[in-house]
Amino acid sequence: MEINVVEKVMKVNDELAQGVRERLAKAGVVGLNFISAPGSGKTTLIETALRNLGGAPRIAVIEGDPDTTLDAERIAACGAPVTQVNTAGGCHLEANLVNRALDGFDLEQIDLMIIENVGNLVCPVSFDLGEEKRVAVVSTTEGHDKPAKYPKLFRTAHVVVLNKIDLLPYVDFNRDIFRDSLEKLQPGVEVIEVSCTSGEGVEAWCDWLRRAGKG
Amino acid sequence: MHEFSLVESILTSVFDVARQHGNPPVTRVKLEVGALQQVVPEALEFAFNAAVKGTSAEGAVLDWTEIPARIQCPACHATYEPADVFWVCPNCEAQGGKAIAGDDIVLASVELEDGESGQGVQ
Ligand SMILES: Nc1nc2c(ncn2[C@@H]2O[C@H](COP(=O)(O)OP(=O)(O)O)[C@@H](O)[C@H]2O)c(=O)[nH]1
Ligand SMILES: [Mg+2]
Ligand SMILES: [Zn+2]
Repeated sequence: MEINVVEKVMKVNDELAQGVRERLAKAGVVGLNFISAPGSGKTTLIETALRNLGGAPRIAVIEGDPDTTLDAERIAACGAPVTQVNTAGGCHLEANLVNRALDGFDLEQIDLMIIENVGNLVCPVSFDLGEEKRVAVVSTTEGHDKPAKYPKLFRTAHVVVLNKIDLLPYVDFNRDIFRDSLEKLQPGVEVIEVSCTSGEGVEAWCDWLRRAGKG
Repeated sequence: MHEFSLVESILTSVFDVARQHGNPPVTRVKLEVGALQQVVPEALEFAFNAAVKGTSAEGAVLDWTEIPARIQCPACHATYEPADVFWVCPNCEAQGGKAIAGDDIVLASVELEDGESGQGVQ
Protein backbone atom coordinates (compact mmCIF):
# COMPACT_ATOMS: atom_id res chain seq x y z
CA MET A 1 0.00 0.00 0.00
CA GLU A 2 1.23 3.45 -0.87
CA ILE A 3 0.95 6.19 1.74
CA ASN A 4 1.08 9.76 0.47
CA VAL A 5 3.25 11.98 2.61
CA VAL A 6 4.25 15.15 0.70
CA GLU A 7 6.64 16.62 3.22
CA LYS A 8 9.75 18.72 2.69
CA VAL A 9 12.82 16.72 3.58
CA MET A 10 14.33 19.86 5.14
CA LYS A 11 11.31 20.36 7.39
CA VAL A 12 12.98 19.44 10.67
CA ASN A 13 16.02 21.64 10.04
CA ASP A 14 13.86 24.51 8.75
CA GLU A 15 11.73 24.47 11.90
CA LEU A 16 14.78 24.41 14.17
CA ALA A 17 16.30 27.26 12.14
CA GLN A 18 13.14 29.28 12.65
CA GLY A 19 13.53 28.67 16.40
CA VAL A 20 17.11 29.95 16.27
CA ARG A 21 15.98 33.00 14.30
CA GLU A 22 13.33 33.86 16.90
CA ARG A 23 15.73 33.24 19.78
CA LEU A 24 18.31 35.61 18.28
CA ALA A 25 15.72 38.25 17.35
CA LYS A 26 14.32 38.24 20.88
CA ALA A 27 17.77 39.00 22.29
CA GLY A 28 18.44 41.63 19.60
CA VAL A 29 21.20 39.57 18.01
CA VAL A 30 21.83 39.51 14.25
CA GLY A 31 23.00 36.10 12.98
CA LEU A 32 25.47 35.84 10.09
CA ASN A 33 26.29 32.59 8.27
CA PHE A 34 29.78 32.61 6.68
CA ILE A 35 30.05 30.19 3.76
CA SER A 36 33.13 29.53 1.60
CA ALA A 37 35.51 26.85 0.39
CA PRO A 38 38.12 25.76 2.95
CA GLY A 39 40.93 28.29 3.21
CA SER A 40 39.21 31.33 1.64
CA GLY A 41 39.90 33.27 4.81
CA LYS A 42 36.68 33.13 6.84
CA THR A 43 38.49 32.87 10.17
CA THR A 44 41.03 35.51 9.13
CA LEU A 45 38.23 37.92 8.12
CA ILE A 46 36.64 37.45 11.55
CA GLU A 47 39.98 37.96 13.34
CA THR A 48 40.69 41.05 11.25
CA ALA A 49 37.27 42.50 12.06
CA LEU A 50 37.63 41.79 15.78
CA ARG A 51 41.02 43.53 15.87
CA ASN A 52 39.73 46.58 13.98
CA LEU A 53 36.22 47.10 15.33
CA GLY A 54 37.29 47.68 18.92
CA GLY A 55 34.28 46.05 20.55
CA ALA A 56 31.46 47.73 18.61
CA PRO A 57 29.43 45.89 17.48
CA ARG A 58 29.85 43.19 20.12
CA ILE A 59 30.67 40.00 18.21
CA ALA A 60 30.46 36.37 19.26
CA VAL A 61 31.44 33.45 17.06
CA ILE A 62 30.33 29.86 16.51
CA GLU A 63 33.08 27.96 14.72
CA GLY A 64 32.01 24.96 12.66
CA ASP A 65 34.70 22.53 11.58
CA PRO A 66 34.84 18.80 10.98
CA ASP A 67 37.48 18.53 13.72
CA THR A 68 39.87 20.43 16.08
CA THR A 69 39.39 23.64 18.10
CA LEU A 70 42.09 25.54 16.18
CA ASP A 71 39.76 28.22 14.77
CA ALA A 72 38.07 28.76 18.14
CA GLU A 73 41.50 29.30 19.71
CA ARG A 74 42.28 31.93 17.06
CA ILE A 75 39.01 33.76 17.81
CA ALA A 76 39.45 33.47 21.58
CA ALA A 77 42.89 35.04 21.20
CA CYS A 78 41.11 38.13 19.80
CA GLY A 79 39.01 38.30 22.97
CA ALA A 80 35.62 37.35 21.55
CA PRO A 81 33.27 34.76 23.09
CA VAL A 82 33.43 31.62 20.93
CA THR A 83 32.11 28.07 20.81
CA GLN A 84 33.59 25.40 18.58
CA VAL A 85 31.14 22.95 17.02
CA ASN A 86 32.69 19.83 15.54
CA THR A 87 30.62 18.06 12.93
CA ALA A 88 32.62 14.81 13.19
CA GLY A 89 33.48 14.87 9.50
CA GLY A 90 30.10 16.33 8.47
CA CYS A 91 30.20 18.72 5.54
CA HIS A 92 27.92 21.45 6.91
CA LEU A 93 26.35 22.87 10.07
CA GLU A 94 22.71 22.20 10.88
CA ALA A 95 20.31 24.31 12.90
CA ASN A 96 20.19 21.90 15.87
CA LEU A 97 23.96 22.29 16.36
CA VAL A 98 23.67 26.08 16.28
CA ASN A 99 20.72 26.02 18.66
CA ARG A 100 22.73 23.99 21.15
CA ALA A 101 25.79 26.21 20.74
CA LEU A 102 23.70 29.30 21.61
CA ASP A 103 23.28 27.94 25.15
CA GLY A 104 26.93 28.76 25.78
CA PHE A 105 26.52 32.52 25.23
CA ASP A 106 25.04 35.44 27.12
CA LEU A 107 22.97 36.66 24.16
CA GLU A 108 22.05 39.93 25.87
CA GLN A 109 25.72 40.96 25.64
CA ILE A 110 25.99 40.29 21.89
CA ASP A 111 25.05 42.29 18.78
CA LEU A 112 26.38 40.00 16.03
CA MET A 113 26.54 36.20 16.13
CA ILE A 114 28.92 35.06 13.41
CA ILE A 115 28.54 31.42 12.47
CA GLU A 116 31.53 30.17 10.49
CA ASN A 117 30.22 27.21 8.52
CA VAL A 118 32.23 24.17 7.48
CA GLY A 119 34.35 24.97 4.42
CA ASN A 120 32.20 23.82 1.49
CA LEU A 121 30.36 25.67 -1.30
CA VAL A 122 27.53 23.18 -1.77
CA CYS A 123 26.08 21.54 1.33
CA PRO A 124 25.88 24.52 3.75
CA VAL A 125 23.71 26.35 1.24
CA SER A 126 20.82 23.93 1.73
CA PHE A 127 20.75 24.20 5.53
CA ASP A 128 19.15 27.28 7.04
CA LEU A 129 20.83 28.01 10.39
CA GLY A 130 18.43 30.76 11.43
CA GLU A 131 20.78 33.49 10.24
CA GLU A 132 19.59 36.89 9.11
CA LYS A 133 22.27 37.27 6.48
CA ARG A 134 24.55 35.01 4.48
CA VAL A 135 28.13 36.06 3.83
CA ALA A 136 29.82 34.29 0.91
CA VAL A 137 33.62 34.45 0.84
CA VAL A 138 35.73 33.72 -2.25
CA SER A 139 39.48 34.20 -2.46
CA THR A 140 41.35 35.21 -5.59
CA THR A 141 43.27 31.92 -5.69
CA GLU A 142 40.06 29.93 -6.24
CA GLY A 143 39.33 31.31 -9.71
CA HIS A 144 36.70 33.70 -11.05
CA ASP A 145 34.41 30.89 -12.20
CA LYS A 146 33.16 29.98 -8.71
CA PRO A 147 29.87 31.93 -8.87
CA ALA A 148 28.85 30.18 -12.09
CA LYS A 149 29.82 26.79 -10.69
CA TYR A 150 28.10 27.22 -7.33
CA PRO A 151 25.14 29.46 -8.28
CA LYS A 152 22.91 28.63 -5.34
CA LEU A 153 25.26 30.19 -2.80
CA PHE A 154 25.71 33.37 -4.81
CA ARG A 155 21.98 33.75 -5.46
CA THR A 156 21.28 33.67 -1.73
CA ALA A 157 24.27 35.59 -0.31
CA HIS A 158 23.58 39.05 1.14
CA VAL A 159 27.16 40.08 0.55
CA VAL A 160 30.09 38.54 -1.32
CA VAL A 161 33.57 39.12 0.07
CA LEU A 162 36.41 38.72 -2.41
CA ASN A 163 39.41 38.05 -0.17
CA LYS A 164 43.18 37.90 -0.82
CA ILE A 165 43.19 40.70 -3.41
CA ASP A 166 46.87 41.16 -2.52
CA LEU A 167 47.45 38.02 -4.61
CA LEU A 168 45.76 39.36 -7.77
CA PRO A 169 49.10 40.06 -9.52
CA TYR A 170 50.08 36.41 -9.14
CA VAL A 171 46.91 34.59 -10.19
CA ASP A 172 44.83 34.69 -13.37
CA PHE A 173 41.70 35.82 -11.55
CA ASN A 174 39.49 37.91 -13.84
CA ARG A 175 37.59 40.41 -11.70
CA ASP A 176 35.29 41.47 -14.55
CA ILE A 177 34.09 37.95 -15.24
CA PHE A 178 33.68 37.39 -11.50
CA ARG A 179 31.61 40.53 -10.96
CA ASP A 180 29.65 40.03 -14.15
CA SER A 181 28.57 36.51 -13.20
CA LEU A 182 27.60 37.68 -9.70
CA GLU A 183 25.50 40.44 -11.23
CA LYS A 184 23.75 37.90 -13.46
CA LEU A 185 23.06 35.57 -10.54
CA GLN A 186 21.88 38.30 -8.21
CA PRO A 187 21.52 41.78 -9.72
CA GLY A 188 22.75 44.44 -7.31
CA VAL A 189 24.48 42.11 -4.87
CA GLU A 190 27.07 43.88 -2.71
CA VAL A 191 30.70 42.85 -3.29
CA ILE A 192 33.52 43.83 -0.93
CA GLU A 193 37.13 43.35 -2.03
CA VAL A 194 39.50 42.73 0.85
CA SER A 195 43.03 41.77 1.67
CA CYS A 196 43.44 40.74 5.27
CA THR A 197 47.18 40.71 4.63
CA SER A 198 47.67 44.23 3.26
CA GLY A 199 44.67 45.78 5.00
CA GLU A 200 43.12 47.01 1.76
CA GLY A 201 39.34 46.98 1.94
CA VAL A 202 39.32 46.11 5.63
CA GLU A 203 37.58 49.37 6.48
CA ALA A 204 34.76 48.59 4.03
CA TRP A 205 34.47 45.12 5.53
CA CYS A 206 34.28 46.52 9.07
CA ASP A 207 31.71 49.03 7.89
CA TRP A 208 29.50 46.31 6.51
CA LEU A 209 29.65 44.52 9.86
CA ARG A 210 28.82 47.75 11.72
CA ARG A 211 25.75 48.20 9.53
CA ALA A 212 24.75 44.54 9.97
CA GLY A 213 25.16 44.89 13.74
CA LYS A 214 22.57 47.66 13.85
CA GLY A 215 20.00 45.05 12.77
CA MET B 1 27.92 15.55 -0.29
CA HIS B 2 25.16 16.15 2.22
CA GLU B 3 23.30 13.15 0.86
CA PHE B 4 23.79 11.25 4.11
CA SER B 5 22.04 13.89 6.17
CA LEU B 6 19.25 14.07 3.61
CA VAL B 7 18.80 10.32 3.85
CA GLU B 8 18.77 10.48 7.63
CA SER B 9 16.01 13.05 7.46
CA ILE B 10 14.08 11.07 4.82
CA LEU B 11 14.27 7.85 6.84
CA THR B 12 13.04 9.55 10.01
CA SER B 13 9.84 10.46 8.15
CA VAL B 14 9.65 7.07 6.43
CA PHE B 15 9.83 5.16 9.72
CA ASP B 16 7.28 7.53 11.27
CA VAL B 17 4.86 6.60 8.50
CA ALA B 18 5.64 2.88 8.85
CA ARG B 19 5.11 3.01 12.61
CA GLN B 20 1.70 4.62 12.17
CA HIS B 21 0.75 1.63 10.03
CA GLY B 22 1.95 -1.17 12.31
CA ASN B 23 5.56 -1.20 11.14
CA PRO B 24 5.39 -3.37 8.02
CA PRO B 25 8.49 -3.54 5.78
CA VAL B 26 9.02 -0.50 3.56
CA THR B 27 9.19 -1.47 -0.10
CA ARG B 28 9.46 1.87 -1.91
CA VAL B 29 10.20 5.51 -1.13
CA LYS B 30 9.25 8.19 -3.64
CA LEU B 31 11.01 11.53 -3.75
CA GLU B 32 10.48 14.67 -5.76
CA VAL B 33 13.78 16.46 -6.22
CA GLY B 34 13.90 20.03 -7.45
CA ALA B 35 16.26 20.68 -10.36
CA LEU B 36 17.82 23.54 -8.37
CA GLN B 37 18.87 21.21 -5.56
CA GLN B 38 22.48 20.28 -5.96
CA VAL B 39 21.87 16.63 -5.24
CA VAL B 40 23.53 13.78 -7.10
CA PRO B 41 20.99 10.97 -7.63
CA GLU B 42 23.62 8.21 -7.50
CA ALA B 43 25.06 9.59 -4.27
CA LEU B 44 21.62 9.79 -2.70
CA GLU B 45 20.83 6.23 -3.74
CA PHE B 46 24.16 5.02 -2.41
CA ALA B 47 23.57 6.74 0.93
CA PHE B 48 20.01 5.39 1.06
CA ASN B 49 21.02 1.79 0.39
CA ALA B 50 23.73 2.01 3.03
CA ALA B 51 21.44 3.56 5.64
CA VAL B 52 18.57 1.06 5.29
CA LYS B 53 20.78 -2.00 5.89
CA GLY B 54 19.43 -4.00 8.81
CA THR B 55 16.22 -1.95 9.06
CA SER B 56 12.66 -2.70 7.94
CA ALA B 57 13.40 -0.66 4.81
CA GLU B 58 16.30 -2.84 3.66
CA GLY B 59 15.93 -3.50 -0.06
CA ALA B 60 13.37 -0.71 -0.52
CA VAL B 61 13.48 1.01 -3.90
CA LEU B 62 14.25 4.73 -3.99
CA ASP B 63 12.14 6.38 -6.68
CA TRP B 64 13.06 9.69 -8.07
CA THR B 65 11.16 12.37 -10.00
CA GLU B 66 12.87 15.58 -11.00
CA ILE B 67 10.79 18.73 -10.65
CA PRO B 68 11.83 21.34 -13.22
CA ALA B 69 12.85 24.78 -11.96
CA ARG B 70 10.38 27.63 -12.34
CA ILE B 71 11.57 31.21 -11.96
CA GLN B 72 9.52 34.34 -11.42
CA CYS B 73 10.90 37.39 -13.18
CA PRO B 74 11.60 40.27 -10.76
CA ALA B 75 10.55 42.85 -13.37
CA CYS B 76 7.52 41.60 -15.33
CA HIS B 77 6.59 38.72 -12.98
CA ALA B 78 6.36 36.24 -15.84
CA THR B 79 7.31 32.70 -14.82
CA TYR B 80 9.60 30.54 -16.89
CA GLU B 81 11.90 27.53 -16.81
CA PRO B 82 15.52 28.74 -16.89
CA ALA B 83 17.73 27.53 -19.73
CA ASP B 84 21.01 28.20 -17.91
CA VAL B 85 22.52 28.88 -14.46
CA PHE B 86 22.14 32.57 -15.29
CA TRP B 87 18.42 33.26 -15.23
CA VAL B 88 17.20 35.58 -17.97
CA CYS B 89 13.50 36.29 -18.45
CA PRO B 90 12.42 35.25 -21.97
CA ASN B 91 9.75 37.94 -21.86
CA CYS B 92 11.70 41.07 -20.81
CA GLU B 93 15.32 39.86 -20.39
CA ALA B 94 15.53 40.88 -16.73
CA GLN B 95 18.05 38.83 -14.78
CA GLY B 96 17.78 37.04 -11.47
CA GLY B 97 14.45 36.42 -9.80
CA LYS B 98 12.94 33.97 -7.39
CA ALA B 99 12.52 30.21 -7.67
CA ILE B 100 8.87 29.34 -7.26
CA ALA B 101 9.33 25.63 -8.03
CA GLY B 102 12.16 23.15 -8.27
CA ASP B 103 13.95 24.25 -5.11
CA ASP B 104 12.77 21.56 -2.67
CA ILE B 105 13.26 17.93 -1.93
CA VAL B 106 9.92 16.39 -1.03
CA LEU B 107 9.11 12.96 0.38
CA ALA B 108 6.11 12.20 -1.83
CA SER B 109 5.06 8.76 -0.63
CA VAL B 110 6.06 5.61 1.17
CA GLU B 111 5.05 2.16 -0.02
CA LEU B 112 4.55 -0.47 2.68
CA GLU B 113 4.28 -4.23 2.26
CA ASP B 114 0.65 -5.33 2.26
CA GLY B 115 -0.49 -7.89 4.80
CA GLU B 116 -2.36 -8.41 8.04
CA SER B 117 0.43 -9.21 10.44
CA GLY B 118 1.92 -5.77 10.84
CA GLN B 119 5.12 -7.40 12.02
CA GLY B 120 8.09 -5.45 10.75
CA VAL B 121 11.59 -6.89 10.62
CA GLN B 122 12.36 -4.38 13.31
N1 LIG C 1 47.66 36.32 0.95
C1 LIG C 1 46.61 36.30 1.75
N2 LIG C 1 46.39 35.24 2.54
C2 LIG C 1 45.31 35.24 3.35
C3 LIG C 1 44.38 36.32 3.38
N3 LIG C 1 43.38 36.03 4.24
C4 LIG C 1 43.67 34.82 4.75
N4 LIG C 1 44.84 34.34 4.23
C5 LIG C 1 45.48 33.04 4.53
O1 LIG C 1 44.68 31.99 4.00
C6 LIG C 1 44.78 30.83 4.82
C7 LIG C 1 43.41 30.30 5.20
O2 LIG C 1 42.75 31.27 6.01
P1 LIG C 1 41.59 30.88 7.04
O3 LIG C 1 41.12 32.15 7.65
O4 LIG C 1 42.07 29.82 7.97
O5 LIG C 1 40.48 30.29 6.05
P2 LIG C 1 39.09 29.54 6.37
O6 LIG C 1 39.33 28.09 6.18
O7 LIG C 1 38.13 30.09 5.37
O8 LIG C 1 38.71 29.90 7.78
C8 LIG C 1 45.62 31.23 6.02
O9 LIG C 1 46.93 30.77 5.83
C9 LIG C 1 45.54 32.74 6.01
O10 LIG C 1 46.68 33.36 6.58
C10 LIG C 1 44.64 37.45 2.51
O11 LIG C 1 43.89 38.43 2.43
N5 LIG C 1 45.75 37.36 1.71
MG1 LIG D 1 38.22 28.67 9.45
ZN1 LIG E 1 10.43 39.56 -17.22
